Amino acid sequence: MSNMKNDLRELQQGLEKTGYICDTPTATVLYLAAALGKPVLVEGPAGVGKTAISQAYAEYYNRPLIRLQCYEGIDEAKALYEWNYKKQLLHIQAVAGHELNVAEVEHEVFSDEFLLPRPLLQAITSPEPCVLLIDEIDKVDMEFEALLLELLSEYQVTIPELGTVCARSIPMVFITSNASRELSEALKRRCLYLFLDFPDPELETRILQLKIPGIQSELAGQMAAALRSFRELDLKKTPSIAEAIDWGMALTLMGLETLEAEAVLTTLNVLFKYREDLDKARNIVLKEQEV
Amino acid sequence: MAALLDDLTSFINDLRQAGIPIAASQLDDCFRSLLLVDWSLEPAFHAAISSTLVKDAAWLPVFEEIYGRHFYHFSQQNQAARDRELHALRNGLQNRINGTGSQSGSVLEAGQFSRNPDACQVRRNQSPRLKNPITQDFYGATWEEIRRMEAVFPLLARRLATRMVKKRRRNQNAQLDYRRTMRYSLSTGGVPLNLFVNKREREKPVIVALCDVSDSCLHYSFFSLALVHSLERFFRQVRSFAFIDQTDEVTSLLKQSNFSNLRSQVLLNADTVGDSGYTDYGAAWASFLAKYGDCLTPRTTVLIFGDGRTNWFPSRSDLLKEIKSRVRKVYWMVPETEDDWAKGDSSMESYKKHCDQVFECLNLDGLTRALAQL
Ligand SMILES: Nc1ncnc2c1ncn2[C@@H]1O[C@H](COP(=O)(O)OP(=O)(O)OP(=O)(O)O)[C@@H](O)[C@H]1O
Ligand SMILES: [Mg+2]
Repeated sequence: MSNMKNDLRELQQGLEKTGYICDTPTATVLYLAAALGKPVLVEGPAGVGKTAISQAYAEYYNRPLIRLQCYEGIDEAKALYEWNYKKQLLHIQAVAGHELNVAEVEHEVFSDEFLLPRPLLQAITSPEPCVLLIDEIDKVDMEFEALLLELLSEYQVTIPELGTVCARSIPMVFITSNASRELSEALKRRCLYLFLDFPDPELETRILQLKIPGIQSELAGQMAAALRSFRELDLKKTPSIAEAIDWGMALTLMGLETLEAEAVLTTLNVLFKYREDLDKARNIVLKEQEV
Repeated sequence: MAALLDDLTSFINDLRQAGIPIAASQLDDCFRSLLLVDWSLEPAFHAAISSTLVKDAAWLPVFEEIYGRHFYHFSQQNQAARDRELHALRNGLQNRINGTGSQSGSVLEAGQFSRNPDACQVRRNQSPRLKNPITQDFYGATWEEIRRMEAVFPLLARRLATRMVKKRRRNQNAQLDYRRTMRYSLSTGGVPLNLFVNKREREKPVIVALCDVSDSCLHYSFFSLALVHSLERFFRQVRSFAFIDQTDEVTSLLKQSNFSNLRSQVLLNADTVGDSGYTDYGAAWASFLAKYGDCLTPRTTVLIFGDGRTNWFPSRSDLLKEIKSRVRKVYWMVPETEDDWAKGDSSMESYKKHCDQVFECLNLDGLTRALAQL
């Protein structure tokens, strides 16, 4: 415990080297998750770095990142394992001419060799501990969520033809969600909860400086302030960190060292994808210009 | 015993009281986390508590408010005093975890955790109870409580939308188009290689929302208006009307305003006050029919948001009957329970007869449930 502060600082610095800046609360949650062996459930608006955080974590600890991208209708065959039936058929055809022992062939085609491990199985059979990213879990249905929950509490999988596969290592698990659907209480209880919001100007300034080579610190600071007031508008799509970075790229390419209203107006379309949003943003820039 | 431990106890009780669901296992996680972090780092102390106790962003504003109330003085203390308290709290937690750790279930359930109930009691009396913003009744809510409802509102709206998407999808049950499938199979030697299906698009209704924006159901109506408009894409068209004793269309006002200025926009710009200035459903319906009667068609679904309290003016349920005769469905969402309809100036008993269904929507939870059924 006495080194906790140091550990946190080290973690923050390590993640920053991989290109991810996290504040103390975020670093604390990562630290606790590792110490308690619990998954992290990351929620927040689009583009605030929910996915990036696990990538940075894996890179910093030099662990393989295994990603399960969720989508509606995803099933065990795509997430856990599947039998390679084409290969099985070919194998059966290949041995068809010979003396056949049905039981033996059956045993053969349901062996490791014919198994296609999908991300979840890959993650628990990985010889070295990996980072497992279950991205956008709110897209799956309740039944699939139950399957995940089972896997995350037991770290073993039963494959009827093969028997039970136990985890060779316990992965560090990140689960992201856009909160489009309420997750089950059981899953939420199991995880540590990390809500990532849009960064405050100070943090965003640092992110911009890290991500945009050659940006003037004054420009980065002014951009962060402007972004904050843009995000206060009632928009169809609030500009994300990724878009903020694109915007900064555009402004530095134009050779800007400080934020100028004219340049802002010509580059607003990098930040806003909807006509109505663009108009609202333009209005406040013009108003700002007047005063 | 450290004051902090008592404070942690009453803090957790307050969170639960405010409606934040906290399971026993979460308390375990919370205390274990607290033992792992360095408390002189306030953000870490805070993160250990919030990441284990709150699992839903909608609750964060409520959590922050209670956290601030309980731990503000703690962060203000000088280092030495804080260290003393922290040391005592750490020992207290450690003992409890060690002492009961082998028992099944939770190490520290709130009941046994409150070792010093008197101390909590004092504190509890000092601070007002927070209510769960999702299940708290609109009626009688203070402004502060309305603010908390507004904080959880976007999340509820989004959830309602997903529920509607799922329902729509389920309703589109596809059926095999035998004829096309057979015809096409002729070109593949009679093997039906391609299956053709008929997707039945359910016809989307036109929504006409009528909202009583008088003082008695002001908050209720604005949440309703905002919610109905957030569902715009699920309907062919949404038109909204506000009334007190006169009806005015607010559709374009709603489109221009955002959730935070909706209330003021409608109150300032809509023409809802006629001769009396008091809620008068009869007068409101008469003016609605006169000005906007043409929006009532067999494809229209009318949603009425209001308490049906007519200020003893004639209820004019004949006008509601006429509206009903011209549209597909009439649904009424009332912010009162059925028990209250027979009391005072409520005309719900007679209006009820001309509605396809009446929903009791006492709070945000009830309101979203009712709308999900559309
Ligand atoms: N704290 C940060 N430090 C550095 N870069 C960041 C940070 N947060 C976000 N970014 C940048 O923003 C980009 C978008 O982040 P990411 O894709 O992880 O967002 P997300 O929350 O997963 O979005 P979505 O909800 O759309 O999946 C990343 O590629 C990264 O470059
Ligand atoms: Mg993502």
